[in-house]
Amino acid sequence: MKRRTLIKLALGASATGLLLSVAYDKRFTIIQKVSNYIDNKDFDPNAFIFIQSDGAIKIICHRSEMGQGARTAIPMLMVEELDVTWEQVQVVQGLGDAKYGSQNTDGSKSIRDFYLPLRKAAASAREMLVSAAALIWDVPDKECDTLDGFVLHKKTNRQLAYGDLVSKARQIPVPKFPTLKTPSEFKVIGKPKAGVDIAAIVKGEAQFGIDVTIPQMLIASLLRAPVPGAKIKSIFKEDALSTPGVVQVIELEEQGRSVNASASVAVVATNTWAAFSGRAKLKVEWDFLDLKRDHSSKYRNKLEQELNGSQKAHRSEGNINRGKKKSSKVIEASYHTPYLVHAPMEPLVSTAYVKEGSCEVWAPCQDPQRAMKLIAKLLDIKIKDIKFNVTFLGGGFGRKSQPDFVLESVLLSKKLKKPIKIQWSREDEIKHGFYHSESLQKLQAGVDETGYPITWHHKAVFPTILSVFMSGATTPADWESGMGATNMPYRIENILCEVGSISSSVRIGWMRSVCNVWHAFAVNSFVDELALNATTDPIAFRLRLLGSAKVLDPNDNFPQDTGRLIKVIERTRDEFGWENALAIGYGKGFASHYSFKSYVAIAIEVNVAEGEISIKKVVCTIDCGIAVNPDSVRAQMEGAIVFGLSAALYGKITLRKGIVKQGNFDNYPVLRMDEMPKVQVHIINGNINVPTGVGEPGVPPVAPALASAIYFATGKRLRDLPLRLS
Amino acid sequence: MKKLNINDEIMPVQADNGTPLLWVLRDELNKKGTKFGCGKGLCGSCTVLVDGVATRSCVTPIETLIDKKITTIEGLSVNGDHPLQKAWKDENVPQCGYCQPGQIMNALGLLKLIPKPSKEDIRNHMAGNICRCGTYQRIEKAILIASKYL
Repeated sequence: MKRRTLIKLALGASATGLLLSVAYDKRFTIIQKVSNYIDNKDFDPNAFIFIQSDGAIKIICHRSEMGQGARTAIPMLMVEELDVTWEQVQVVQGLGDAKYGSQNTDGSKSIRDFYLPLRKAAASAREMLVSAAALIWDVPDKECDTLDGFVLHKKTNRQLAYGDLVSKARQIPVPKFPTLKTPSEFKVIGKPKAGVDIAAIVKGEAQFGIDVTIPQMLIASLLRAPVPGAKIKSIFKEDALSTPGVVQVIELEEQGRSVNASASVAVVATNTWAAFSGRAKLKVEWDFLDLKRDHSSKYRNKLEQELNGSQKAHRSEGNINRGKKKSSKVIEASYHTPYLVHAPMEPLVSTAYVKEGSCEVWAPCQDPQRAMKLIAKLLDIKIKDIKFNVTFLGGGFGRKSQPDFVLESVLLSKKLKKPIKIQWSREDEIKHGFYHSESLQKLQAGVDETGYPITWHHKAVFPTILSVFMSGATTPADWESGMGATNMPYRIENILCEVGSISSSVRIGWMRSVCNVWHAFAVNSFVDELALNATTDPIAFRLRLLGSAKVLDPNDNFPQDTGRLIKVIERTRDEFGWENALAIGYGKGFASHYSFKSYVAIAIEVNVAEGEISIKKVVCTIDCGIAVNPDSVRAQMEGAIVFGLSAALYGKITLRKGIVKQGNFDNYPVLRMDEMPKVQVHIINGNINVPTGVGEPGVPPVAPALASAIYFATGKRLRDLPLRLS
Repeated sequence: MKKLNINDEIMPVQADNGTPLLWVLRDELNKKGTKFGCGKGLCGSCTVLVDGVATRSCVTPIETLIDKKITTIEGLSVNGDHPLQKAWKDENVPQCGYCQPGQIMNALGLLKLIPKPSKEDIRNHMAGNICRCGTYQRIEKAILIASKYL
């Protein structure tokens, strides 16, 4: 009951009441849990909707907002089915709480996983309000209708506002199988909607993690172990301590697996600049023990060795050796991609206040429930005694799903018994990341006399993301290969997809599109090379490899349908004007990829003059089932293209003795506005009942399309990222 | 005591002379619209106007700002209806929104220099501000629209 009270306070209301939580019974079933009424003022038919007697409606967004548009699209689902207007609605960010179901905002899942549950939650609330009005009027439910926050009885020309129905509605049983609108009845879903927080953002009023201020709060800057696992040998803290504003210098222990926070020394001060200044004067000697410390120039050779070593098969069909014997030619190419870091514009930051037996956190966090479990363990308290406020995230891209930065602030607050904000610098963020894996892949195909592949052999070596959860894990899981390697859609008789094993001395993390990025680069580039060998246009060649439309994995909840892939390919081809001739020095390139259950194709036009790559035009088509907020889908594609171009042209993290060499946007550049191409986005609603991922699927096809365009313009096939002509 | 003119208000400031304006705004004066992104003047998230010129507040010590006129995002308008803010809303520019106050202030600096900028002017001037979400195309359009109303 205490948790519930806290939530209500956060909502600015006093009632506790009827609670119905959305959870999964198999998939997409609402489980109803009814508690006792405490007062008779308000109507909160489930964990997501709260209607006050004055007519004000609060809708909870339980997923983190990092620019992908969750705080707009999630409420859209409920505004639609509740039949209310945006003017009546206030969007409230949900605290970390398991009653909402998963809040782990990653994997492009917010809409995909909650499309039906949240619509059902809202539809059941609407039906209860209808029943309440029908009872008052003594008419059948089915004679009543709803519009803009009113229940209507058209026959008698009567209406009641939702706010006037709350006490009655609370007594109606929650319907188990509420009727949802059909897509043709949608007024909100599928219509472009500007971000609900835009007014606050353009005034500088949106509260990000960095903007949190708590009375008596101290601010800390941490000097972390330059290599994960290194121990503090000695600390020279006098100069740091004598910096005006610095109040304390204190050691923080390493937090092991799951948290993965390195050992550090915290410079604690009364303001951020003092903390940074003191930290600049802090000297720490590190003991590197016998830690393995990778060196980038040698790591590439190691990847090569492992690629030729023993492999684990993740997909095997036919027999590639037999197939090769039938081939008239064998084609082979290797592709290398480097470590990348997320670099969201808001560096990591977290504020925590640990008290006796409880803890409150304010953080820009993608996965509050996972952090809460780890906090409970660290402090030996119950999860219900943790209040986790999720702020706006100034970008996330996967970095803010890691709990390390939150747990550091909790540990420091525990030690100092004060509210603590830990502010990361840009250098901290770049040097202490959870990196997108470096990878090396070799593709080999035996082709017949027409150039059609008879065999497809894909070998990949990259450090697995499992290594941050399991000590010593060196072999990628099959689902890592499933992101773009084993689920490649082409019809080839003999297929073998394998992974090798390799360790890394840095922490590996999720980054926007994850393994899809390097797999899509290699697979698309190689298909391009096969097309060249077959002297066939690369798009025509892809269509030939796809053949007629086919559902590839019919047992999957969201099976891959090559018919939909073909449509995004054709649409992109046509909108781009693929057949048009290009001037000398210009090139066009193409790539397509299926990821996060969505289909994306991208065509790029470049100009290369005196070794300078200038990207002129990018045309993109996405089929994400149904675009709940088409403008947001468009924005995500525009953003994914910029993100993909940054990686394709610049992104590269390198190590010297295990230490990351880059530190800021001068040596880890990203795309800037003067390099921005014209971007055109097209949306196909390929399944109006099933929305699929949007935040990530735009990234993977970008780099291979660009590499292909550069080849067209220059005749140089670039097989390493970032793409460099010299 | 030092005094700074911020959004036409004279404000006493206690921080040391060498403190960058960014942290005085954020930590001492509670003006948190100006954001920290890189600390080296590389990303533009901290952009404010100093005497009408777009300036990176993260590398500008306050001792250089005495008797100067500082404008932050909070000083742009009371109701968020400055032509740049309106255009930002009309074009639905922001994604995460973190860099946008800096983008808007840098755009304001541009329009003070060149009231009717070309696309090239916009692209060159705005190249100092990074948006990792990739809203550049919409920013360019919003500035063109805003320039028509200023």
